[in-house]
This record gives sequence, structure tokens and C-alpha cells, in this order.
Amino acid sequence: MTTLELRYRRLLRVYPAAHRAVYEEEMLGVLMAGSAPGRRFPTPADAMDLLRSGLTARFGRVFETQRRTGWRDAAAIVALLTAVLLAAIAARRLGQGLQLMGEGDAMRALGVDGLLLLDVAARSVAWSVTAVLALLGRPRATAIMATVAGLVELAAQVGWSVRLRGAFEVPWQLTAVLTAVTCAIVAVRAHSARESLGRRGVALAAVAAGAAVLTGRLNDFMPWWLTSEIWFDRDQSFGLPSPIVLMIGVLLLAALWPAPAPLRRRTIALLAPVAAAAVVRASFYRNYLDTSRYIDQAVLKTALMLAVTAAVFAVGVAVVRRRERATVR
Amino acid sequence: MREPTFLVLTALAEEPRHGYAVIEDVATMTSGRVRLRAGTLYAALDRLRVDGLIEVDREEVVQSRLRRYYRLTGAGEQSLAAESARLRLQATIAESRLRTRRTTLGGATA
Repeated sequence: MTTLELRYRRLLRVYPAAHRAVYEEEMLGVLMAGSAPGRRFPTPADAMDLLRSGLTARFGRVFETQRRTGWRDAAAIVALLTAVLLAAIAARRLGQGLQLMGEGDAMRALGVDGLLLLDVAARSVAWSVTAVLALLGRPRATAIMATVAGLVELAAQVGWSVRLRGAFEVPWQLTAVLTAVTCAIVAVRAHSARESLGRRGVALAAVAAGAAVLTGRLNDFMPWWLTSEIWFDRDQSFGLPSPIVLMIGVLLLAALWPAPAPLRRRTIALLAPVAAAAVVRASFYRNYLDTSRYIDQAVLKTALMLAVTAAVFAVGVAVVRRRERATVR
Repeated sequence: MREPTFLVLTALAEEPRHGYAVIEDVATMTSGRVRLRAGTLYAALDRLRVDGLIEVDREEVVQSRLRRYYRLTGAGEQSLAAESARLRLQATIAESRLRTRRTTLGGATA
């Protein structure tokens, strides 16, 4: 093997292995046939061309093969569902706050009556508007509003943390918020969620949101273990999402069912991190009660939760891609 | 369709050719204006194969080097015909506008 050939071979390593397996020998033949006799180094133009084409084959293809396969459409659905879920959670808290106010609690902060409700009111309005815009098929406005709602959530978290001097709720919603904002931005050029889900899907998502609003509010009519969010054992050392939370999950899956299989798979892969965050949060229940007043613990738990959800996301995407690669071949 | 793709299809429309022969033919066809480089050529060949516009005709080993010959498929022929028609239409429009312009300018041709 000549020095020039060795150098070309080294340059060709920039291509993905699958591409090299098919074309490497052939390309070497072409490169060597086009080289002047006695040449020891590739021409800069050839080297640049190989690097550019190799990198495009390596990374451009990943992007291109995933670009038109419905990830954006899935993101539009997930943006809608997470916005609905976050609106429902905030609305439920607002309901609880209003009930307390009705019972005589002034919900006073900074000397202003009712100011404590400002945070949940702002959250519920922001996410509700986001969900309505997503339903109306206004992707750009949805992305802007989701970003605003995400900032409101962030401000609320920081505000509460300061107010309670370092107490910091381990925010499983953080994953939902990040998911909602990212998906809304990614879905700017996608089919709307309403198109993908159909009327029945949207109706089921609305029922799921209704159930989320009512979670924990039905204690007068049903046993607590059915209606509280977290299902934990007697000494609260271990928790799991409660039956009503699982039912909300089942309703969301039912809403997705009529969508084409690839879209459904992608939507589930994008929603899985949110579900994982809810499970992690539930298992923190006891610890959360005891120790989350210490900021270092809270930061650790938040980091753990984000790591778990990121891992679930990576695994979900890999499973979808591997499964479809197997189907295509 | 980008120019390298169009030129590769045109080179293969005459007869099955291997990679280096495609480069040479494209250079001749364009009077040396376009000399495809290996990376660009194989990006086009790979895409055309995936899209079913070309296929492998045969393989040879010459002086211990692999040579793979490619040929146009039926879909490739149709695609090249459609692109040629599109380019011809564009050229006709450009020529007719240039003629009109020359007439308006009082017959000046330069």
C-alpha cells in the first residue's frame, strides 16, 4: 500500500462504517486513478471534498432520515398533551387555593390579599392559552406562549425557593415543562396535533386533563388511595404513581391510539421522560418531606431526575430508530 | 435536481460506467468546466442508488482495484427526461426574453 493510499484510507474514516463497507475500495480506486504519479499527499481540494461528504454522510443522513419521519408531528402532539397536563395541575392548585380562601385564609403575601395565588393563576392561564393555541393549529404562537409559560414556571420555582429560604420542591414538572417548551419549538413546522389525533383523540386528552384537575379533589367521594397522586406504603418510605395517575396515562395512550404507528411510537418516546419523572418524584416522596429544605439535596435530586429523564429519552429514541431500521431492511 | 446529479445521470444514460469513467465523461461533456471529486460523486451515486434511479450493472477488479459499473434504471431514465424537459423550457424562456430585449434595444446584439 502506498503512502498516498494510506492517507486516503485515513481520510475515508470520516465516513460511517456502513458507507465504507459499500464504497471504500471503489472510492480508493477513483482517488488513486485521479492522482498524479509520485504524489504523496491528497490534494487539499480532494481532502476537503472527502471531509465534507463524509461528515454529511455521517451526520446529515441521521438528520435527513429522521427529518421527514414524523418527529415534528409527534412533538406537536406532545406539546399539546404536556401543556394540557401542566394547565390541569396548575388549575387544580388554583382550585385548592380558592377553596382555602373561601374558608377564610387570606392567601396573603407581601401584604397583599390573594397574592399567593398569583403564581398558580399565572401558570394555569399560560398553559391553558398554550394548549388552546396548539389546538387551533397555530404552531408559532404555541411555541412563543409555551416559552412564556416555561419562564413563568421557572420564576415561580425560584420565587418559592427564595420565599421558603432554600426549600426547593423537587420539580417533576420541570421535565414536563422542558418537554412542552422544546416540543412546541420543534413543532413549528409540523402537522397540528388536532390533525394527527382526530376529534376522538382530542376529546380523550381533554378527559385526561379533567381527571388531572380532579386528582386529590375527590376525597369526599372516593378512598384517598384512589385519588391522591402518589400511592405510598404505611410509613411513606416508598411511593408509586397512584391509580388515578395511571388512569390519566391510559387515557393519554388511548388518545394516541388512532394515530399512525410511527407517530404513536415517537409520541410515546417523547412522553416517556415525563412519565419517568413522575415515577422518580413519587419514589422521592418521603425524602422530599424530610430533607428537601436543604438546597444541596434538592439540587442533587433535580440532577438525578433530569439524568433519569434524559436517559429514558435517549433509550426511547434509540428503540424507535432500531425498530424502524429493522422494519425497513 | 442538482447539477452533479444531473450530470451523473447524463453520463450513465449513454452506457454503464464506473466511477472514474463518470468523472472523465462529465469533464468531457462540460468541456472541463465540471470535474467531479470522489466525495461529491459518491454522495450522488449513493443517493441515486437509494432513490432507485441507478443500479449496479457489474463489478470488475482491474489491477487489484474494485470497479463497480452503474447503469440507469427505468425510473432514472424518466427522472432525467423530466429534468431535461424542465431545463429546456427554462432555456427557451430565457432565449425568448433575450430576443425580445434585443428587439427592444433596437437590434443591438452585444
